[in-house]
Amino acid sequence: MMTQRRINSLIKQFFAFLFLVFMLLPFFLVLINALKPRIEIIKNPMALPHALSLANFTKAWVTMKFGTVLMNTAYITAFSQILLIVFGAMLSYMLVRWDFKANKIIFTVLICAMIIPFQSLMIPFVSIFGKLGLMNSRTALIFFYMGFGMPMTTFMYHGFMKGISREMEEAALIDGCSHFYCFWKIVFPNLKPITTTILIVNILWIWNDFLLPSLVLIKDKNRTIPLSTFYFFGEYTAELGLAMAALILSVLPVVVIYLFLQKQIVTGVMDGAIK
Amino acid sequence: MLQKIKIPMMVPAFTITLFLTLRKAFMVYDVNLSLTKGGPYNTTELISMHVYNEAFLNQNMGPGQAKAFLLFILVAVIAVAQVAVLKKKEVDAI
Repeated sequence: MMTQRRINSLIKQFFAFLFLVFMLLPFFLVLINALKPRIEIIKNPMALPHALSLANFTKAWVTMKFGTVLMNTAYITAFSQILLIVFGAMLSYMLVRWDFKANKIIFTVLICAMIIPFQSLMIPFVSIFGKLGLMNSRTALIFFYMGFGMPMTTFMYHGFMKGISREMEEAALIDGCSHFYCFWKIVFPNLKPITTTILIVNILWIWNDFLLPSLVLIKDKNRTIPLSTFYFFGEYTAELGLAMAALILSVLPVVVIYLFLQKQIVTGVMDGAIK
Repeated sequence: MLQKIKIPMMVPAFTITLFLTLRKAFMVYDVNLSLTKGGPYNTTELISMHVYNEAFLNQNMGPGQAKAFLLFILVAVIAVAQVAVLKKKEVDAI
């Protein structure tokens, strides 16, 4: 029985499906063109491949030095993440649980620091770090990411921590636990949802960041994934199959990470922000 | 019913989303570079690319930093105004 409601819902589904096709069409084209040799791409870019061939992928991996680049990006992302989470959680614990006057000032300054766009700081950053001789160093990059990610991380932890009750901490403190131990053993495991959210948001940002590594990392062996994709694409636009394969390779790690942790984002951001 | 009840209760979500999105939108550089590279004769040059070109390609660090500072003031004014306006419209759940 086709009631009016079912017809409405079918029409909405149809338009949603059209929108989905429209959005996914570029990815689909890149994917099928990465699997074809060059001659087939020139003949008909939109046709499905006759035979699946992974030759483009292997050649792109070797030419782009994808293994080294992936290790670089993973190293930078992992270290800055660990530092951000450790220090951000501790800072927001102090801001929430103690009532110093300085806490309000610190929190307001952190929120204002979120507004500063990166372009205002990149020019002094490059000139000062250039004079210190820290160009080409991935550690300087980690240091900068930690500074830039701290306001957002602390803000999200702060919102979430206000909703955690103090009973367990007070019980532990009465029993003679030190503050440091109390934080790491009791409060931090309760912060798992928001930690996952912060992890995802920061990983997506640091992994895909192009501007900062392009200013700091100059040598070939220190490049990150967006940099190396950009330079590769600039050199190899004539060989479309190879370029498409390089693009697919650079997208894969982030998609895998995101699919693993995706449910946590929406619930986590809203929980942290509204409180 | 939609606009009197549902939307006022969604305003906190709008506040934070709009704040983060506006902030990110003013800093876009890589999408601009990969799509148009500044376009035919600098016509699609967005503000971030303009600051970058001025400071690093033309090696004019002084004027480039001045433009970046003006960008900061612009983003700050817009963000603070937007958060203040939307915070007034927030409704507590009854």
